[in-house]
Amino acid sequence: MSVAPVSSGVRQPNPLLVFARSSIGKKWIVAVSGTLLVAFILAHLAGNLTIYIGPYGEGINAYAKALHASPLVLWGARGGLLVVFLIHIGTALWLVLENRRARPQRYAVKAHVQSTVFVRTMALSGLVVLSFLIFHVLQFAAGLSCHSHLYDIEGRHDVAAMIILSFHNPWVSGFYLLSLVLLGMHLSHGLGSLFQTFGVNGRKTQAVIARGALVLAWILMAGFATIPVASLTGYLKVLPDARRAAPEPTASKS
Amino acid sequence: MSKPILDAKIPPGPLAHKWTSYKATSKLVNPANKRRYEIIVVGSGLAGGSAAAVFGEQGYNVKCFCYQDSPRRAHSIAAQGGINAAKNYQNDGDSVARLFHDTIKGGDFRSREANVYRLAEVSNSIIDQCVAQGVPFAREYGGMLANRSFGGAQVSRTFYARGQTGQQLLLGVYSELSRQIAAGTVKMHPRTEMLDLVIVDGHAKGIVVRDMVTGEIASHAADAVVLATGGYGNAFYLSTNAAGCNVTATYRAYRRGALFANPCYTQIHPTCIPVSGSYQSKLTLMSESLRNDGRVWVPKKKEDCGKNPADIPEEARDYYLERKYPSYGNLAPRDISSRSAKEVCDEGRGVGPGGLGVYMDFSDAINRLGEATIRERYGNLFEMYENITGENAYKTPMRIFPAVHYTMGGLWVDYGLMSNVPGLFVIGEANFSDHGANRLGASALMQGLADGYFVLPYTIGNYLAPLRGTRPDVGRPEFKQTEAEVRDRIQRLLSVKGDRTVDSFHREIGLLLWDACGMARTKEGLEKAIKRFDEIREEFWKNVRVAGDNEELNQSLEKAGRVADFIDFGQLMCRDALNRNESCGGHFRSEYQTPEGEAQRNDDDYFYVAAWQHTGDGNVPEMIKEPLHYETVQLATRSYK
Amino acid sequence: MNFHLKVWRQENGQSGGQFRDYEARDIPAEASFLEMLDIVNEGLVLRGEEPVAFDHDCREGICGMCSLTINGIPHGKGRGTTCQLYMRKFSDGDTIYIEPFRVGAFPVVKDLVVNRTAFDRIISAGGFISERCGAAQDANDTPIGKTVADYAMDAAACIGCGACAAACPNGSAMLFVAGKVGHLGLLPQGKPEAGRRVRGMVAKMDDEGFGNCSNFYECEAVCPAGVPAAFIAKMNRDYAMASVSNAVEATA
Repeated sequence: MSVAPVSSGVRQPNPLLVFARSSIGKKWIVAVSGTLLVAFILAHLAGNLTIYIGPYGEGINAYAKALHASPLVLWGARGGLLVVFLIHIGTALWLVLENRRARPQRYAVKAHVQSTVFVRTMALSGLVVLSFLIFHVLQFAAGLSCHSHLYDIEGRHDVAAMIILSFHNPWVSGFYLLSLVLLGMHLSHGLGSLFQTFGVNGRKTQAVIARGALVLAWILMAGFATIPVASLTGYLKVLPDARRAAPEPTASKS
Repeated sequence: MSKPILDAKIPPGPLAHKWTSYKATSKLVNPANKRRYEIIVVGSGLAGGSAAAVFGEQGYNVKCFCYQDSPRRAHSIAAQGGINAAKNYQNDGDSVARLFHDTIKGGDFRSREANVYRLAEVSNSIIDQCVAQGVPFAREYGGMLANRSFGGAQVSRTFYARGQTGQQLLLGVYSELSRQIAAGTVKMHPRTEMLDLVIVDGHAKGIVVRDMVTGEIASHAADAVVLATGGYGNAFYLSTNAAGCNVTATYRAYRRGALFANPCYTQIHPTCIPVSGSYQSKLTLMSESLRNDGRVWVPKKKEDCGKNPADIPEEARDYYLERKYPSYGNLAPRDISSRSAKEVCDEGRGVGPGGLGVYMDFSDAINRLGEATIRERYGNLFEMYENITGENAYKTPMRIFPAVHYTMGGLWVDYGLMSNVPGLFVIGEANFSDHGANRLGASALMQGLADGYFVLPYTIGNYLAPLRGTRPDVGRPEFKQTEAEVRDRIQRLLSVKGDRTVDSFHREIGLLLWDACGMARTKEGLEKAIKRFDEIREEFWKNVRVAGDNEELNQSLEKAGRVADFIDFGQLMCRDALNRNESCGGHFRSEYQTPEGEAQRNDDDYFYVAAWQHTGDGNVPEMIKEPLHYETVQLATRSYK
Repeated sequence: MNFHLKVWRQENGQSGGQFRDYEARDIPAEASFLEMLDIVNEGLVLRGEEPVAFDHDCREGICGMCSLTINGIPHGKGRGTTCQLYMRKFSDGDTIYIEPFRVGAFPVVKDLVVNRTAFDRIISAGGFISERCGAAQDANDTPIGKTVADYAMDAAACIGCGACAAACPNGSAMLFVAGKVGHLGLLPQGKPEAGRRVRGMVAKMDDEGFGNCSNFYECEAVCPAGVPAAFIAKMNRDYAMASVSNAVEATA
């Protein structure tokens, strides 16, 4: 029998390893890591939106300070996030490679009947978002922005100014908005796909979930997009240099 | 004609106890010895697939062959209606005895009593078996199995799975077969066609096959050979059968000495979508249930046939079934209804392309019940009709015409399903035994599974047990000789290189059979056809064009071999029809009808099975009789007035 | 009607293939797609050329033997198999690309004929209920609610044609496997070996080299039997749960 018997003399491979290597198991890994990344995106958006608190975006400065209060937690979270990212991207790429191998001879003509543009561009949108992320982390988190050495009234790192001034550069905000569109596309499929992979999708829910995911994805992206737009239109203002205080001695660099 | 009379080896005792006592006295093969036996099963439909699976389960070594790419595609898959069983779940008075009696009567008293009784007896186990293997039969809200009445039966005994009962039953069989393939007891040979039977010392001991991908000709030896290769409806070229269905396996066995019984018994289904042109390859069945609401008519005058049906006024229409059979009307039985359609078309009053069609009109029903009700009842059928014909049957009448559907004749077998050649077993539509001259709706699936699951696995032991697994080797001269003959025939087909395609010959014999040996047969027509077959055969072997070579996938060659056999076999059908000077079931001889146009049986002279023995290619075969004996059933005349 | 055909011709599984142009002339609009090919083939035979090999059998949409991708869609536009596609759905003068189902696990045998025995091997890896013939209880002993029975039938309707894998941009066979896992797993008689079944069939599916599911849902759109992709969701769940319980059992 080709079904592996549950107990036989032959040493069975670890069942969890079998699962992780299987096609469905890998989908689960992408979906679980994707769920964690969606959770991160939600938290990140909530954090970003604190820029609207206070006349000069002091809210986000306070938020950043609080985040940096415990380096251990911060770096732990960052490390965890990185691992999740790597698992998500690595497994997804593994799947993509396998999928290519599954059709060695391509169709001369291929039509699409009901698949969306979002699902057909998952790998592309994922990779563009990845390249953006690298830039984004270097710019804002690693402090490589030319506006990352300002401090606010209370001597906190002026994160708001760094963000707003950076977005005054149309190239930066342009790339940011473009990446948001691609992330929106990625999530438009990914969010709904989670339900399918976790097996909580049914014949009747399929369309509802797909539409709900689409709407949620673009609401999230709109939330992020308000910041560059508000920066460029002057809605978000930068603290005048005259009112800046000296850095707090304890403020960490980034 | 003082030929020996065939012995069906029917066990003694009262009818109801025959099968039980047969089983109790059957020889058994020691479980430990079963793996020393090889059984060849040709065909993987309901009969072949189930037999192969059970043999595997019992411990035999099985080789199963099919011409399709997977055993799951055998033509059993196309059966729509359902499967009968005498469960009496509806508490409407059904019983084994009633199912038995209905089947005998439906077969117009030309089937073997003991076989039919056994069929009715095991019908209940089939349903149990199918449910256990996961066949999703229709159910009621309470979770019990649903039944419907079918084919005019007075009880609801038909189990069904939407309109796909055959498919679901075959997938059940296929899953059991797959389990045995995984267990290593069954070795499946898809895309492999049996081209001849090998006889060693008078016993069937193997087959010669062609690998349809590589063209390799090979022999397989076994202790017993089971043919489950279906019917020969494609002799008519156009039928409801699958394109690949053919008579080659059974005809080759016939050439090697097996008797072919009642080849003229063919069933014509009255409600099919008519032919629209000579390119057509297939006739599609429309459910007979349409006749409940459709009124069948043709124009009274030939001149009106080309007109738009909407422009033909009521008084110019001939509702011929209602006129001729006032009490049954449009629900007249299959054979009557089919024949009447042919008659009006012969008079030149047929409609549609070629004048081969009659209208089935739903306008009255739509006016009476509303389009929504009709859509609810037959929506999927109307859709199918529109897909195929491009016509909207809500607006314009459907066109229907009868088509060849099932063949009751087949290789002769005894009670144990063994042919007159020892070691050669024949099951399902390929044998002749259970349906007489006409098959009842929803009984084909029943017979296929009965043979494969519940009959043959018991009866084959009687043949196998004394052998102790001593089968011949494929190296024996009988195998080499048969292989050489197969190769030679293929070479002959390829080397003709004439001007006519295989299909053109197939179409020609199809039309010839349809005219001479179809819904109505006459002595004169049959005699002409028998002669014509000789001419066609001669032309075929001089003028057929087969493309390509043997050593490749060559569909042209596959077809050529099958059509060559259909030519020989079609002639045999006509000979059988000519011999039977009576009308019964699917065999209607125009000379033998009552003044009302009903079939007139002749029980005094033709209450027997006509089994034909091959006497050499081109020679007139000899007919051997198996007289029928009824212990319980009274012969009666069917009447619809 | 007249058509320009671009047909994939390939001598056998080892050789390469290419498109060849054929003109289909005077095709009746009532002909099915396969009958159109029959007409072209008769012409080829009479001209002494090799006819185009293609699989077909029942010609009524149920056997699942045909395996043509027509203008990039398995079985062509609209629901149903190739034999149920009629030429009136095309326009006179259309150019029609005809390719075999292209899936690595379905190697081309010749021209438009592919080898789909991978599907049979997947079924052999668990797509059955282990029961012994003759040992079954009465068919009505275990009631099965109509809703469950009907839903199982939706999955069981699969005709095994392989259009799902052929349409899937990833060449994934998930809909085929999920159909069988769903059909048998929903019924009470299929539950005892449900876990073992889904693990066995998924392992075999991966083994055969099919791609992974990315939830394109192209499979569902081309499925002639209308098997819903919701069964894939069910299989994702069933497989994960079966793997977990298998892991737990392995520690016992």
